[in-house]
Amino acid sequence: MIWLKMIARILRTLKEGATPAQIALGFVLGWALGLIPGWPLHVWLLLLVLLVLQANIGMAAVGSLFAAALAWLLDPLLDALGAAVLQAGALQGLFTRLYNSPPWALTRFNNTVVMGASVAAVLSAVVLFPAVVAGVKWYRTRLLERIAKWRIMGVLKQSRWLGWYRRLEELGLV
Amino acid sequence: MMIRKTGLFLVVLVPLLVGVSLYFARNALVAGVATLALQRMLGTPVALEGVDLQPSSMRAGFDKLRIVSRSTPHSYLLVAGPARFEMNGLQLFARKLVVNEMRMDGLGFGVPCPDCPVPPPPPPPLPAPPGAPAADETGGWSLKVPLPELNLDALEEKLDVGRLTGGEKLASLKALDDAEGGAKTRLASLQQRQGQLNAQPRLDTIKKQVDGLDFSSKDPRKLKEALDGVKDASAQAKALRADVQGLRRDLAAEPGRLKTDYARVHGEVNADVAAASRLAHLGGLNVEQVGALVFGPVVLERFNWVLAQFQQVRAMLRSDKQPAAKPRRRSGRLIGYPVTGRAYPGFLLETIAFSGSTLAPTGGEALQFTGQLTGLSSDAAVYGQPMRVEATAKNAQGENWVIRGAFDHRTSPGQDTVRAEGSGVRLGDLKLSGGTLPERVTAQDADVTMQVILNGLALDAALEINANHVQFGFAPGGGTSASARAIRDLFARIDRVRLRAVVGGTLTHPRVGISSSIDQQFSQALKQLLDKRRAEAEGRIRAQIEGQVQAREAELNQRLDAQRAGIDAQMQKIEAQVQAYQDQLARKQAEAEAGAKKQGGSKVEDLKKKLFKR
Repeated sequence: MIWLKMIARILRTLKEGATPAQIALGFVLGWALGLIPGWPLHVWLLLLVLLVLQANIGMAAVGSLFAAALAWLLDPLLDALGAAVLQAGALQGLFTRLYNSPPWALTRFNNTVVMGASVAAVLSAVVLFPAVVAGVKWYRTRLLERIAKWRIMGVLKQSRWLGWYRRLEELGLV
Repeated sequence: MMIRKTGLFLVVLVPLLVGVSLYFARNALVAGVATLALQRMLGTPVALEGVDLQPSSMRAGFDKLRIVSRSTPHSYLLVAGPARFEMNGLQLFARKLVVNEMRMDGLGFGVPCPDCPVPPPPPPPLPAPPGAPAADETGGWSLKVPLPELNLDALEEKLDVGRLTGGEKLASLKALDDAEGGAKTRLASLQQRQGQLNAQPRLDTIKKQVDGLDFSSKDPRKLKEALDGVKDASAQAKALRADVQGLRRDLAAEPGRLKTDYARVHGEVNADVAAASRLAHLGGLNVEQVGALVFGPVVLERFNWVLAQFQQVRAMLRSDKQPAAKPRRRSGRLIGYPVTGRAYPGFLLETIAFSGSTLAPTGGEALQFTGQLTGLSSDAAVYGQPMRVEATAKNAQGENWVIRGAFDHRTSPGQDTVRAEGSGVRLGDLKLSGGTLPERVTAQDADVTMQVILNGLALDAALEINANHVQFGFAPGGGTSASARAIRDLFARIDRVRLRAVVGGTLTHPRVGISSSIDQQFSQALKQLLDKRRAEAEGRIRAQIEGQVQAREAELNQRLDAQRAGIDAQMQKIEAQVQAYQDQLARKQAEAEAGAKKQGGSKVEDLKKKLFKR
């Protein structure tokens, strides 16, 4: 039932309420949070941005889940990417300075997977943000009516749990 | 993009609340975390009181630190405080605890603590590195060196060889068993050969042939047959005699073989005497052994104590480098870069100035000590300096100590050196070997120098003690024999002792040499006394062993001689009979020759020539 509830919430978010940019920002930030392992300093900063800006938190959770699963599968690739960046000749001076500055240790920048995931998150954000914005727009204009006719939507609407959830939502308890 | 007010509120308020709470709870928090960390590290209860942390200046301190001893129940391993120190705040970002300077007073070791909880049992020892000594049952390193033993009472008492050897058969008696077994086998073989001779049937055949000889006939053919009979009987008699003589020769050689076996038995007697003497601790003493005999236990105890401290320091100076484990998924690898500034290990205590006092010994005064320890780090290779300690200690009675140590683990396997020099040292009751020898020694004024160098596992240590006003104490009931009394008199005359002990080799295979002025002062007297008694005791052991061997030997000789004589008598009888037949044959032949001469027959002459020309 929790899955049905989540799907319903996601669909509702896509349908109305948040703007495509808020949804895309939430997804991209969540994506980055899921991709980067542990809690280095920049993950805390991303979390702070997510909380302060009106990015969609639900979509951040979705993005984070997807990214975490993908990062686990792509760990060797992220490790190789991080190692390549950290060992790039042109960046040695920069990294040596950061390495010798204790506060930068909080970012765990010299960890291959942290660096690989951080670089991958930035690169993917450039593609993902406009893609999600366009996707949400397309969904709202083209796909919404067709999806409403799907049998699963009928099941979701009639779901007892969803009914309760809506009631609680109306009462402002959730 | 709009700002989320709730989010902003949370982002500002939560850290603020956490920060304020942490500030006010910092001392309790730090005390709790530090106590927990120390307890985990040492495996024993720790109490930390009066913690004061000033985040702005990164200064901290505590009033009292108490660490319960794990090895000695109801006492503290260490009591310290007040202490003040200054941390390097910047390095905390890199998760490194760097204490630039520390001042710790009120340091005390082994302070009694009647209400202390009993600490948990020590964890199993860490796996030893290749070639390293295995930890003993106490979990610590210790020198396993066999010390000479001397049982002076054994010199006096009646020594029972059977008791000494634990009822095990003496090697000489075993050799005697072998000799007996060999002799029996050889005699059995001779008896078998005797049976195979078929002496009686062969004698009967010869007798029959001799009796059947007839030279009275004038028929040359019959005469020839008789002469053939003589030839055949002579050959048989000769063969039988040769066989009998061969057997008798072998029989005659038997005592010689037995003598060789007995020589081996007597060699084993000497070995048995030496073994029994060893078991009775009657070992012959040389000058160095006198020192090891008297002072060995106390010297080893001191070295073992120092080695235990070395082991603790080595465990403390463990490297930051953890053994390489297979990285977990998503854990990544750390890439290192050249350190351009100063490199810090994970943990560093740069300078600790300390002061404190030892426990007052019975009837003595406590030592007040001050010192400085530098470079206590978790990775000496990164820090670049060995850990050094310098301390001085003194008390009102004029006892002075200077201790210097360097623990260099910048490169593997590391070298640890400690040198301690003491003057006017009041040696308490030092436990000695006891028994008939002194069980303790006390000295009012001694100069002590000890140096221990541990390079990896190679040990180079020396201990020198010059003690004045020495008094040896004996166990009340220990040794009432004349030797024991003589020993007591000898020790009572000693006022000064100079002792030197050196340890070389490795921790696993140490070599210990102990010499003392006792050796020079009166070792000869002691040695003469002991050697005389030892020789007497050894003589008693030899008499017992030889008595047993000789009794068995005599009994064996008697049995073997009887057996040999029986066989020989039979052989002699057979030989005599053969001789008789041979004589008879010679006689008959002579008669035949005489008869033939009378007849003058050329045919018979020819026949005789043919028969007897060989």
